This record gives sequence, structure tokens and C-alpha cells, in this order.
Amino acid sequence: MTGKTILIIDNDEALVDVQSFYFSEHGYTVYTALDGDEGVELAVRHRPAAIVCDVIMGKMHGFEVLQALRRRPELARTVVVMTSAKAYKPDIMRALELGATDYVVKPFRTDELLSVLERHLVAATEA
Amino acid sequence: MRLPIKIFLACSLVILVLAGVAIWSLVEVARLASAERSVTVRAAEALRLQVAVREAVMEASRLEMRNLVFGDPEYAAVSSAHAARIAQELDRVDALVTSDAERTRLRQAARAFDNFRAIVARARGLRAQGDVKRAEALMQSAGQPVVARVVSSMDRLVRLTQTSLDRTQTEATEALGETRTAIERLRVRTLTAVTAAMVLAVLAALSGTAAIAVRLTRSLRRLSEATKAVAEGAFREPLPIKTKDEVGELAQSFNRMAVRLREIDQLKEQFYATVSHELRSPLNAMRESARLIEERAAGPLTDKQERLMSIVRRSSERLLRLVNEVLDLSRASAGLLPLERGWFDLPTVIARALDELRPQAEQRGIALRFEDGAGSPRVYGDQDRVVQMVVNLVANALRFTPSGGSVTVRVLATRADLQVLVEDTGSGIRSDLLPHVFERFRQAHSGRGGTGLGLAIVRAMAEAHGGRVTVESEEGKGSRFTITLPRGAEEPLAAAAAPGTR
Repeated sequence: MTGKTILIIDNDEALVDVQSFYFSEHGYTVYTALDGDEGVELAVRHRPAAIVCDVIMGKMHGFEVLQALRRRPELARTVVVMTSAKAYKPDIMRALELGATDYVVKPFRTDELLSVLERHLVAATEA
Repeated sequence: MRLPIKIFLACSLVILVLAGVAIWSLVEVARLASAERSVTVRAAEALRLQVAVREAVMEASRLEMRNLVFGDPEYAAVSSAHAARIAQELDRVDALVTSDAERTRLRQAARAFDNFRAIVARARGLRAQGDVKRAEALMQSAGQPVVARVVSSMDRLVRLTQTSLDRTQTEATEALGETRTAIERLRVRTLTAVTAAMVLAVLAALSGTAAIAVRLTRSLRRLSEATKAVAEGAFREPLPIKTKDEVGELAQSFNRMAVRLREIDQLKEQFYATVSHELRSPLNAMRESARLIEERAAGPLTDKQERLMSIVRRSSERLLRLVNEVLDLSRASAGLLPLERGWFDLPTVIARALDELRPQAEQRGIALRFEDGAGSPRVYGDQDRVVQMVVNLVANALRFTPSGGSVTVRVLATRADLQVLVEDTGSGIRSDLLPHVFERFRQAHSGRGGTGLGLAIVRAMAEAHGGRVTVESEEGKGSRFTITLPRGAEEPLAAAAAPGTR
């Protein structure tokens, strides 16, 4: 496992591009997936340090992806930050119950998202 | 079963019960009338004939004596006819008498009368031979005793029949008494039966119609509640009305309609979601990319590049705002504005929203004030939407208020409502434009920024919350917008324990 790998799972291609550019600029290896199946596959193959996963996606719901990730022992402690345009409190509670490390409401600034990821990565390394 | 058939059956039940009672009464009356008939008529007729026969026999004897004395053939013919009639009447009496004793006496009389006729025949024979003396002697010696025997037999018969008639009459009187009692009994019984049948019929009719009415109203009430639910977009379960009548059909049609409406709503919602995603995603990426370039995420920039990038960012921000507002308005007019309601403290939420607008106010040299005149009331609604309304109104006020002016936000409480007032000391709105300020793309002052949808959205949000927004304005002095929100139902304890904040 490399400590500098981030996987982005989101069906918003333009947003994925922006994040991918920004995270790469900051020295991370970035993998991107446009749907949940591909996301879980990449996560298993590359075992990233952190995963950014959108909640509302076409093929597979973000919560299903989250559950699929958490079912694998090797990904059980990976930092997973859920992102969503839905700021509804029960949704946030549900995501945290299912094992999300954090929940960031869209629209967010890309640099803010990275600082959230980095904070959790530091915490995970110290733990 | 169809409704008219149900009602017809309920009525038929009543009619059948009443008809049954009527037929039974008629049968009872007919039975009584036949009991009235009696044998008295027959006995009286027999008695009359017997007396007549007795007299006729004596008359015949007298006639025959005269016939013998005068030898007049006319007398002979009358006497013969008389005798024949007596014989006939004896036969008729025989048909009328009832007891054996009477019949015995009648036979004695008939036999004696036959003897008399034989004697008369012999006497006539003697008379024909010219022997008047012997004929007379025969009538005297043999005829008279025979006549006396007939008469005495008839007398006894009359007495017997009389006794029988007396007995029959006594019996008839008794029977009449019994009949009267029976009639009285029948009258009481019929009255009771008719009353009981009436009560029964009325009860049957009432319970029948009541059952129909109750089921009908229950079904209709369910339908009316379901219609209300559909109108509010809260209809989920199909109506469980399974009857085979018109109401059942109506319920089935209603269920089909509700399902169809839900499908249409889902299609619309899906459409908005798709449009929203497809429009916002690229705009978001544009804005974010421009921002990152401006912040040198991709390396150093010249001043000119930075200025152009700033135009890209601000334009995409504006377009994104417009897209959001158009989508909100479209959703609201389609009745699909999703409200995520919860209980929250109105002044706290408003104060927090105003904090974000304060830099903008300070930059423009406008005093932004907040007054809580309601004592921290809680309200049931979508917190984000309420913030959106207040931000729209305040941003609007800031745009039209000159430097040195002020914008004041106040929260007031009435018994049923909460009011948020946004007052400014700005340019005001011309009275002819005032009624149109909440319409889409109607800007009282063009060229001051804004999409022209802000106030339309405030109105849509307020109405979605069951409230309203109003405006008062004086040109040159300022405007006052008032959002009125219903307080909502009594706050449940669970909601108080877990405040609906995010």
C-alpha cells in the first residue's frame, strides 16, 4: 500500500477531472472510477490510502459502494470520504453508521476536500 | 353488487314483509266468514214445508169429500193435483230433515198419505159405479183415520224439527258468541302482527339503508381523504375498497389514476434530477477550474490572464446560480420542491445566515441589523429553504440600498404565525411595479445584478411552507418584505430532543 494514493469514485466526469488534476498537483497518485463497480474493483486492486465516493450515482448507490468496500478486511480501515449534494441529516448519519470516515456536502472547494482527506490520513497514520 | 340492486333489495325486503302480513290477514278473515254460515236455514225451511204439508193433507181430505158428494170433475182434478203436490213436498222435506227420528216420522206420514191416496182411488171407483153412499162411507171409515194418522205423524215431525231447530239456534247463538270472541282474537292478533311486521319492516329498511349509507360514506370519506393526499403528494397505499359496486369501481379507477400520477411525478423528478446534474456538473467544474487557476494551482499567472480567469469564474458562478434558481422554481411550480422539514430555532438560523452577508454589507457601507422580537421561537420547516428566502431578500435589499443606509431583519411572532421582516432604506419600488415584484424575470431596477428570479423563489418557498410573502414600499424611502410562516403543529418531544439542525 502506497501512502500517497487516492481513488475518486464519482459519475461527474468534469468534477473527477478537476479533483484528479488538483490531487496529482499535490503529489498524489490518483485513480478515478465513474461508477461503483469499477470503483470497488480499483480499490481492491490498488488499495488506496483514501477514497472519495459520491453518494448519488447512476449504476450503484454510494452507500452500496461503501458497504462493499467495508466488507473487505484489507479496506476496512481505509479513509473513505463520502460526497453528496444532499445535506439531509439522516443521510449523513446513515453514511457514518455504514463506516464512512467523513461526509462532505457539495458544492465544496477542491482544496477544502484535500485538506479534509489529509487530516484523516494523518489521523489514520497516527492510529 | 351494483348500488341500485342493493337499494332495490332493501326496499323489496320491506315490501315482502308487509305483503306477507296482508295476505295472512285476508286468509284469517275469510276463514271467519265461512264459520258464520249455519244449518238454521235448512231447519227453518223443513219446518215451513212440514206445516204446509199438514194443512194440505187436511185440505185434500176436505176436497176429496166434496168431490165425492158433488161428483164435480173439476174438484176431482184439483184434488188430484193437490195430492201430487203434497207427494212432491214430502220428498223435499225428506231432503231437508237431518235426524233419523224425523225421517221415521216422515216415512210414517208418507205411508199413511199413500194409504189415503189408495182409499181415495177406491172411493172414486165406487162413486164412478154410482155408489155414492159406499164411497162416502169408505172415506168416512177408512179415509178419515188415515188423514188423522198423516196429520199426527206430521205433528210429531213438526215437534221434532222444532226441537232440532231450537237446538240448532241455541248452538248458532253459542257459535256466534264464539265467532265474536274469535273475531276479537283475530283483530288483536292481526293488529299485533301488523304492528310487529311494520316495526320489523321499518327496522329492516333502516338497517339495510343504514348499512348501505355507512359503507357508502366510509368509502367516500376514504376517497376524499385519498384525493387530499394525492393533492398533497402524500398518497402511497392504494385504497383497500374492493366492493363490486360503483364505489368500488371508482376506487379502482382512483388507484389507477394515483399510480399513474405517481409515475408522472417520478418521471418529472427524474427529469429535473437529470437536467440538474447535466447542467450543474460542467458549470461546477468550470468554476472550480477557474478558481484553481486563479489561485495558481497550475502555476503562475499574468495579470491579464488572472483578469480573464476571473471573468470565467464569475460568469460560471452566475450561470450556476441561475440554473439552481430555475430548477428550484420549476420544481416548486411542479409541486416537487423537496422540503426536508424539521424543528429549528428561527432567530439563530437567521443570525447565522446574516453573518455570511455581513462582509458584503460592510463592503457597501450598509448597516446590517438583526432584531429578535419573538423570543427565540422554533419553527417547523426546511432550514436551508428558510435561509435561502432570507438571504435572497437581504441580498436584494443590499443591492438597492445606497451606502450609508441600513438593512434591518426582524423576527416577530403572532399567535399562529412567525414573521420575518426585511426592511431597507433603499430606493423603494414604484407603486405600479409593486404588484409584479414576485413574478419571474421582473426586475424593478435592471442592471443591478441578480437573476430576476430571487423574489419569485422566495414566494415559491414561502408557499411551499404554507406561508406567504408580502411587500410594502415607498419610492425613495425604502421597502419592507414580510415572510409569514405558520408555526406548524405542536412540537413533538422527539423533535425537541434531536433538533433538526444539520
